Amino acid sequence: MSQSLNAHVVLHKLALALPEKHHGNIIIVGSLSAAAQLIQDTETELRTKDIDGMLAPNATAVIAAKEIATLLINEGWEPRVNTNKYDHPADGTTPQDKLPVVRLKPPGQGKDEWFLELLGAPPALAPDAEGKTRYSERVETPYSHFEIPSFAYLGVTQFKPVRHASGLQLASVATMALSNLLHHPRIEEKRMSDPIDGQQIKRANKDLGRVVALAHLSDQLDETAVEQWPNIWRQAMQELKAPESTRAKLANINSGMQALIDSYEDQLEALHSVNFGLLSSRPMDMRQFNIAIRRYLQLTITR
Amino acid sequence: MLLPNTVLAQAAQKEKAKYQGAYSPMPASADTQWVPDSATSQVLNLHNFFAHIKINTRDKFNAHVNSMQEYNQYRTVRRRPNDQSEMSDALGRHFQLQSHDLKNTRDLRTLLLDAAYELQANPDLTDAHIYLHGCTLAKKRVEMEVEQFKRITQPHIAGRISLHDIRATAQQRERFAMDGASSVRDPFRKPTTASQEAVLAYLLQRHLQSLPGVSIGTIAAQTKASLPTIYKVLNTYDHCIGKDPEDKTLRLQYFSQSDWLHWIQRANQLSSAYFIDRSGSPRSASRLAKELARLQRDDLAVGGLMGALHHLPSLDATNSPQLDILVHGSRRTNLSFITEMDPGLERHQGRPEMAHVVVHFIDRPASLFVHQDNQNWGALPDCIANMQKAGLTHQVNDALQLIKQGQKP
Repeated sequence: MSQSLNAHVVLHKLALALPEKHHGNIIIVGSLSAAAQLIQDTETELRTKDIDGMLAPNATAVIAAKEIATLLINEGWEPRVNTNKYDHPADGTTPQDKLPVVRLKPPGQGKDEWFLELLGAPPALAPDAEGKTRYSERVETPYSHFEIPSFAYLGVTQFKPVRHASGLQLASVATMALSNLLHHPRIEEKRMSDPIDGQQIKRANKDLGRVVALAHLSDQLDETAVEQWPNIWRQAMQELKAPESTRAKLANINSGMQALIDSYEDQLEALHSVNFGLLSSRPMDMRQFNIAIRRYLQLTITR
Repeated sequence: MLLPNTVLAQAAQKEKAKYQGAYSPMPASADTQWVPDSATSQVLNLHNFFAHIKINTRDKFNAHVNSMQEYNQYRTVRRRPNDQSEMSDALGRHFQLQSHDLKNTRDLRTLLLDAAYELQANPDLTDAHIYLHGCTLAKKRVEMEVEQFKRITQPHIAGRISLHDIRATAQQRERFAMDGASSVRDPFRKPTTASQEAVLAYLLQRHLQSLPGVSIGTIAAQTKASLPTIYKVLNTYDHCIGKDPEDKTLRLQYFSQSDWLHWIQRANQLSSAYFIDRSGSPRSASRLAKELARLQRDDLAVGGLMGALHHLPSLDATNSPQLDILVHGSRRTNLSFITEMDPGLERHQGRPEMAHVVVHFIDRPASLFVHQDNQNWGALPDCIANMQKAGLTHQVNDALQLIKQGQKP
């Protein structure tokens, strides 16, 4: 069961813990970033445990990860590793697929409330030669070898991140949505390894549901926000020099969302996910969620 | 038994006579006798009936009558070009007339006459078929009219006219009611006949815009109302109407609060469609209005308080949470555009306590919409009627006061 966190409090704590020189290298992605930008009520808390920080650019990600991990472990942060699946501590002999991800729990009272997970910016905004969208880099620290994963389309969040009051950078809502949409042009059968409130749901439903929640919350704050997303997406692709194969995906960017609206079962899963995450303070019912999907499509397709 | 043409002419004459009685500066002295032309005589049996009809052509308001008759000799039903067609099969050539939402016997009689004249003029036509789609007259009334018409028509014509009264079944009607996006053959079809309220709305709009007087011919052309309808309005509101004997024009020169309330009450007799938000996060009326503008449809306009505020910026009101939309069409118009505006809106049967969007139907040929600031706006009288329907009595009174003071428009 995830704990409730106040996004702004966590970001300030994290900023204090991280060396200032890395504030500009780390982009907070995921639900904490979204909550910090979209949930204005300071009393509202978010149910999450993992704080995802993407180190950018790709060229310096491994070095930055090594420095940050070493420093935090020196200061009492503890690696959080599932030893059934990964080797810990790992060394130069550990195969890449057995390397633990850098997941560090803060010391003291917040120890079990949340953890920082380090990711890297991908080498390209496209799948590798084998068609895989997940890249992996080895990070060697005095305590253990780790890996930092990177995801091809998560790289779009490098476009115009938003500066938080803590000094950290937050991935913009529009690019986080784009990343999720690029990863799921359809609803794949692959399910999350960890259940969400007891339910093991499809990864695509979690990510597409997140897009719906992002659009819904953005629309509440600024009625012109979501209709600007397609424009931001085009700019991001251009500025980040995305390959043509990725740019071409914009033409059919909502195919996964169309699949979601066509499947009642998938909508149920996606709703379960967002009601447990971003929308936990104001959960939706099925009809409202369906309307939110159609509103999103209206704003991003028909303009 | 009265002839259809005779009924029309007599009705117009009766109303005109009343009107003349009130306004004519001099008694009618030189009457002209009108007789049916040969075509009419060949179709109908009762030639001599017309001998009694006299039209005073000297009266200042009659100047338009001849030209109107020449322009539109027999027809008060306005149609689209494809409402009239011919088809051929093994049995011969058939003439077809389509009519939608027919509301009154006068228009029905005109259709029957049109069919009769067509058969008379084209002897090689085998027969004529009139299709009534969604006629609002009672079925029995339609049957009676057809029967009466055939009784007074030459048998070789009458026997070749067939009328097909196509109506929705109870089940279809229920579906129309439940489904805001009801299917109609042509969702953009505009009303073709004008009521008295429509004529007055036109005059009111001109009055509010301080426009000069107009001739009856112009009123007929602009509102597409029949002459009897126009004369009824002139009669009912003759205490408000000023005339210019020189250029034979008239205009509303005064409209009291009670006149307004009377008109509003009659204008509001048409039912409205109510939509409520089902998303849990309703969009503001101003945002919905922007979405409406985005549709770029000239048959849709903003009405109600928002529309009134556009016309009367000094109105003592803040924007209503409800958006009033005026649809130029009948209540059977396809309303699927509401979902295009906002998928969160759902039609509510009956009148809810709180509606987010209310659709009012401007069921007259001239919408009187104006396009300003990238938006279509309903005419101020229609907006005021919407406000009254929404129970905004204070704002209605304030609007009427502002109009009286001549602050705007």
